Amino acid sequence: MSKGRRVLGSALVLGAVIWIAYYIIKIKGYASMDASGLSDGQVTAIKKSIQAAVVVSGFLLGGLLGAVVQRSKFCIAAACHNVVTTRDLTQTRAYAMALFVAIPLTQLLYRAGIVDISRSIYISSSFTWLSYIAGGFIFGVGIVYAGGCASRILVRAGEGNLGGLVSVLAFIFSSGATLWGITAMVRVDYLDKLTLNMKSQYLPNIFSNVPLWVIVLIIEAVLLIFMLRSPKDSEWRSLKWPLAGASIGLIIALAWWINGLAFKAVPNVDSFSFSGLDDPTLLQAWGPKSLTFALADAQTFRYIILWTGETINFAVATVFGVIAGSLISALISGTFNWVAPPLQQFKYNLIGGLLMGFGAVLAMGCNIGQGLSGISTLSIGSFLTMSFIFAGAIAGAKFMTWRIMREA
Amino acid sequence: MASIMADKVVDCRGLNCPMPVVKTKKALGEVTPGQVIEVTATDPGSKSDIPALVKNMGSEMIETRDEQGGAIVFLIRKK
Repeated sequence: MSKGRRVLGSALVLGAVIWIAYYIIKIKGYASMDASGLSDGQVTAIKKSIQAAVVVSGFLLGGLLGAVVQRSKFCIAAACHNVVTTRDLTQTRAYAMALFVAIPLTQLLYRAGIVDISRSIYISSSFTWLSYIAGGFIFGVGIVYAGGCASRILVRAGEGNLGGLVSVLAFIFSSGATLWGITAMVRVDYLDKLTLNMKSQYLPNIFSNVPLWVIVLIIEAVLLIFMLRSPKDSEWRSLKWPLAGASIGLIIALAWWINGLAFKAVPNVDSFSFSGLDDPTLLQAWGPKSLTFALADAQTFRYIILWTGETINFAVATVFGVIAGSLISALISGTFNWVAPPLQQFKYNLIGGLLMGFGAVLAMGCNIGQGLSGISTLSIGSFLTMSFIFAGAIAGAKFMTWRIMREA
Repeated sequence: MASIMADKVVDCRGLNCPMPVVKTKKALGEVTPGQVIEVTATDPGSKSDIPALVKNMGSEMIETRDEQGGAIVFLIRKK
């Protein structure tokens, strides 16, 4: 890559980060302002401005994620199945690095009263254990066949891989059907019925006599030991991988930050529309969230084909962002290439995408949603889901290897 | 074409991770020690995945080169 292109890429990244920081400061102002004297018109204008800030930040954060994934090849699917395929744990360590950064920052934002993660879906949902287990496992098998997780396949499509595009379309189809359509019945009538009565999924609540910082410290120590115990000649020892992991952890924390502030700012300026912080319409539109691609891809499709009556939200903006970010990054670095899948890969993309869509909606998240955003909240359901995504990916990779080894 | 002739050619163009890795593993199992396989892949992830596999299988990466259209060619000698 030429120097000029490097400078252009770095300038775009820096510009995006500064832009996001500006929005954080702006929404923070709305969250702490005295809103008692505002007219109805002013309230509407401020709400519009918050909406715009959240949507543009979503696009920028998605763009940064897309660019980091495109350049580094960071892939949580590979982080899982490399355990059996290449037996090289560089990707797994990069994932550990993302958690190492995202967990303490998210917990800090929570404890500082900035982001109320206790009202996020990861903590407040009922503990649908069978859905987490089955959804996680099915999703895990799916990512091996589709050639990447819900965000990685978007990046593949963005860099010209038509097999990735097939996976994306299959994923949208089956996640949409599981959210609103024909397979939603199986989810709602059977799997989601099995819940465990739990007040909150917040892990520190289970060990209520252990301080939060001790729990975070133990998790951080485990991750650190895992990262440091890499072989001496491992690719992990180059700067690229730890940097990619840390950037992704940071993107997750920034997404929590901006959405957490919006969740404070909206009821602050508009106290009449909502009955309180647990108001369902408030949570539906503004509930604290970070990146996830389980529901986002299907919502984006719906947004495009219906348009009327649909509003763009943070999640939809991140999907557009990932595609744009990976496309721009591929074009700047000269790595955009049209690639068509052979028949076998085409079938795998189709099957993988369908499995992923069903699994992700069932488990309420993909390996970004549950595996990074969810785990950074220390939700028990997220830990459970991610364990089964791991198990599913390993099983899927073993099955795929067995099948290919038997081919003539 | 490199001066070393491959005893087995594996075409992984258009295949996504982890398929190129699995196919390379299979090909390495089918040749005898000392023989050379040539793997062509278009998945950008292969650039780090295939060398890692080769190292962990104790074989030798003779050459890695980029070709037009984003293809990467690996020459691997089984040990």
